[in-house]
Amino acid sequence: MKRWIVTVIIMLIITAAVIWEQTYVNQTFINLETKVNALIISVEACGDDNADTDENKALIADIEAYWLKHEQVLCYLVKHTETFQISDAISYAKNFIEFGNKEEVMSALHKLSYLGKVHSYNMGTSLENII
Amino acid sequence: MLTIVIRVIIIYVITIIVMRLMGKRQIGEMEPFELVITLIIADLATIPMSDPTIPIWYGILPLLVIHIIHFFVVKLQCKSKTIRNILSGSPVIVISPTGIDYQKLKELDICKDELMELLRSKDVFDIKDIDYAILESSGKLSVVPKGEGKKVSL
Repeated sequence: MKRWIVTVIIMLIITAAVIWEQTYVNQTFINLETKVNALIISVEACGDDNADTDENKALIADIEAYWLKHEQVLCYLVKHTETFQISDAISYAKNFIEFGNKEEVMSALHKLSYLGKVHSYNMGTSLENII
Repeated sequence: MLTIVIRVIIIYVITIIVMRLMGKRQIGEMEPFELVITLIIADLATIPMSDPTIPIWYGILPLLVIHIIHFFVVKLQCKSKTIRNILSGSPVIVISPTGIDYQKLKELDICKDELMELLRSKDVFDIKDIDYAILESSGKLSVVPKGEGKKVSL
C-alpha cells in the first residue's frame, strides 16, 4: 500500500514538473523572440545611421536582464552549454550595438533570433527530441 | 570538485531509494526484465555524476520513471500469466522421470554439458538421483531428488 502511494505521488510530481517545464520553456522563448524582434525593428529603423542609439541600448539591456533571470531557471532543466550559446549571442549583440556597425548588429540579432527558435525546440518536448 | 562530490552523494542516495522501492526482487534472483532495469539504472545514475553542466535531473528523473514502469510491470505480470510469460518466460521441465528432454534443451539453447554443470552446482552428480529438474525463468535450476515423491506443477 505504501509503495502504491509513493509511486502515485512520484507520478503526479513528474506530470506536474513536465507540464510546468514545457510551459516555462515555451513562454521564455516566446518572450525572448518578441524582445529580439522589437530590437531588430528598432535597429532597422536607424537606417544608415549607427545602431548605437539609447533606445537600442535600452532594448538589448532589457533582453540581457530578461535572459539572465530566466537562464538561472533553465540551467536546472537543460544542459548549460545550450543556454550558454544564447548568452554568448546576446553578449555579441550588445557589443556590436555599442562598438560595431549596423550589419554586425543585424547579423548578431538574427543569430540570436535563430538560436532562440532552435533551442526552444530542443529544450521543450518534441517528436524529434523523443525519437 | 565540491559540485561533483555533492552530485554523487545525491544520486547515490536517490538510487538506493529507488532500488529499495523496487523491492528485494532486484537484489535477489532477477527475471530478464529486472536485469535490464538494473543495467539501465547503473548507466543512468552515472550520467550527471561527473559532468556538472548536465542538470542533476537528467539522472534522477530516469530512475524515478524506471521505478514507475517496473512497479506496473510487476503488478501486471502477477495478474496475467501471459504477460509473465512474455516478460520473464516460463519455467521448463528439462529432466523428468523419463529422462532428459533434449527437445526442450534445444529450444532453450542449452547443451547437455551445461545442464550437467548446473546439476553439479546443485550437488547432483548423476541424473538418476533426481526425479525432476526445472529450469526457472531466472536461469536457476531447481531439482526434485528421487524418492521424495513430490509432484511438480508449473
